[in-house]
Amino acid sequence: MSILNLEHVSYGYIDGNKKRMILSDLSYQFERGKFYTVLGPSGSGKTTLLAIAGGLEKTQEGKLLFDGKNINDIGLGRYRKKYLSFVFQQFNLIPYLTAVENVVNVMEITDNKVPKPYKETALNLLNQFGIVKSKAERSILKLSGGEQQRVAIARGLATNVDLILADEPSGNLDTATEKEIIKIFRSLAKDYNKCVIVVTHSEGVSSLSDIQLELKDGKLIERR
Amino acid sequence: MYFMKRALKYLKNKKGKTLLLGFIFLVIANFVLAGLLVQNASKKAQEQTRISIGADVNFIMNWDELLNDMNRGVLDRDELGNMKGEVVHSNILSEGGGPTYKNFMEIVDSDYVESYDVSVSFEVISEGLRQYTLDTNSGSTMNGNGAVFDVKLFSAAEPRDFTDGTAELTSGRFATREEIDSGLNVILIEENIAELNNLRLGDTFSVSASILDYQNVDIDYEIVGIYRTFEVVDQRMVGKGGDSLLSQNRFYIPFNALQSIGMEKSEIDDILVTSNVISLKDPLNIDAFKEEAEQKIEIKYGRLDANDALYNNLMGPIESLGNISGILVVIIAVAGALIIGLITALTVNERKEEIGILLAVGESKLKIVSQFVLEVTIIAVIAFALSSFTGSYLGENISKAVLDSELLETQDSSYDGKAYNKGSYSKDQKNVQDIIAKESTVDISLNPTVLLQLLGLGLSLSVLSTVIPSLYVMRFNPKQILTNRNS
Repeated sequence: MSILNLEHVSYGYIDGNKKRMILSDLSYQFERGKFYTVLGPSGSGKTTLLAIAGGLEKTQEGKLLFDGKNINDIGLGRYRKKYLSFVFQQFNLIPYLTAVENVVNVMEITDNKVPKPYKETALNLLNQFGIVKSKAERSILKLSGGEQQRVAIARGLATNVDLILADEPSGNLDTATEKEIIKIFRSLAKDYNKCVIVVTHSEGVSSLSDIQLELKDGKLIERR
Repeated sequence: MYFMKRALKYLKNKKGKTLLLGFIFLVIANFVLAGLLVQNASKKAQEQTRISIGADVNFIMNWDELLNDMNRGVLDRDELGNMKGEVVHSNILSEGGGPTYKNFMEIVDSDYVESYDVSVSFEVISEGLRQYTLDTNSGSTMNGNGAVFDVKLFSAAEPRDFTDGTAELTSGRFATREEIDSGLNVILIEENIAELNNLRLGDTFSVSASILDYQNVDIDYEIVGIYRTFEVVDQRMVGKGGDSLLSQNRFYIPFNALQSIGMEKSEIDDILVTSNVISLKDPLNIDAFKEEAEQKIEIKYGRLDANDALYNNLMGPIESLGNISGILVVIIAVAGALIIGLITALTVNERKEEIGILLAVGESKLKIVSQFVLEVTIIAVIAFALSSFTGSYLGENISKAVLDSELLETQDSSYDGKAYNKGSYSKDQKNVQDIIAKESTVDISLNPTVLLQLLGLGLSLSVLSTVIPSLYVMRFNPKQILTNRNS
């Protein structure tokens, strides 16, 4: 059974006098345990697709089902809080919190069961991603880009969700770190049975995914 | 509840912004507190002055209104009735709300009234009694017509002269309420008269009164009390007016005893009782008492005077000060809210990214706004708490300086005499100085009310200045916030 099902989703905006469709009658089913990448040129609607899949934006037409339930019925806020997590290109960590506090923050927000004490759980999680305690308790502004992205990924996993959406997660990282991050995503899909959807420009990143998708003319096409 | 921890973390990590906002709050709080203290001090000074002036009200003639009606021809001088003689009565004045016995009794029938007294004086002649004189300390009998004595009618159980210490009962008792109301012929005489005439409690003696159409009426009085007087009468007045002006030659008899002299009840009701006093339970109830009295009767030819001229003279500048400080508090509060609102709006705008992140991870908008409100509230509470030290010092000094200067001006202008010549005001300069002395010792330190006002204002400022800009940002969805920032 699919975890995320997009059914006839359309989304567009008014450009001058005519409506420009970004997503047009798009249907696709995403499954657990798989690492997806979505490719496409700039302006093709990749970020919009991710925003709709992540409940940051409402569909204009069609519907989005999570485990068979319409996310509008779940409620977008609750959907974001309980069922998925985001990893952004800019990391989007809260700057005045430490690494571990950023992770604990989402644990406090989610309704999902997370082992307590949260701080210990967060430190263990961060340690798994190579962020040792001394670094975890530093302000995130004092960590490198790669370390911040690992913190962001750890934050994404901290709430025990099955769907991870990432928008150009390695866009700001060097090649070595990029490979390391992609390795983590693959591991999340294979070892933790998560559904990982990564939007990217990079053919290199895409080549490491289970399923490569291309967003073309508002529709998702499987490349392999 | 992690939003609280986030708020604390933000304050700790953004020390510069926190200190800047705290400093602005502190400045505003100091001004507000100073304004509140001045306002509070002026209110207290007003209350203190009212208390110092006392709870006594006089029901006096409104001559301006009376003369005005006469000049306009609305009132005929002849219609006024018997305005001559010692005991004046007028039905027109009674109906026009003048200070007649009937109107007086109606007004004093109030829960605000602690006690009251009216006194009407007239002279009586006694052929058998010896009068007290200053020269020989031995009594004399006036020529062949007999000795003249002053009679003071009273309506209170204990006449005013006794309550204010002018006289003291040395033996016997005062008239009972029943004796006063029924107008029994009981009398209080001075101890010198008692001694000179060998009179004792229970004795009776006869006097002749001629207050009604100049007809002499002989009345027998029973002595129920003997008093000692402390009143000192100016010898020059005695020289001109005779020994009957000496307070030793005064008899106290109940008001309604006039009936035994031959006056009808309706005539007694219409008697002018311009020498009266109404003591209220609380001086702060004076305005309420006046309002109540005016609802009972239309007080046209009368006026209830609570030393208003003095009060207004003393309080005018201080009331203005209170009003100005009140306006200042509002202006400062509004200006403060705008300044803090602007700073908070800029801060919230800078934190759009954070809002987007928090919304993206599922945090509720309410908790995000609560976090921002809490941050500003913590700063506001600390700043306002600090201001309770700095602001109270500042406010106390400002209040003292301003009150002192206002009082000095008031004191100067009070002595020009204008304040005392109106109505029945009779306080001397010493009393005015006493009042000013009491007023200048008004407690203008911080009190719980001012602190609560300050806290309420601080909380309102922080909530208002944060919620509005936060709600503005909250209109965006997280995608807008994050993509705008990332693009």
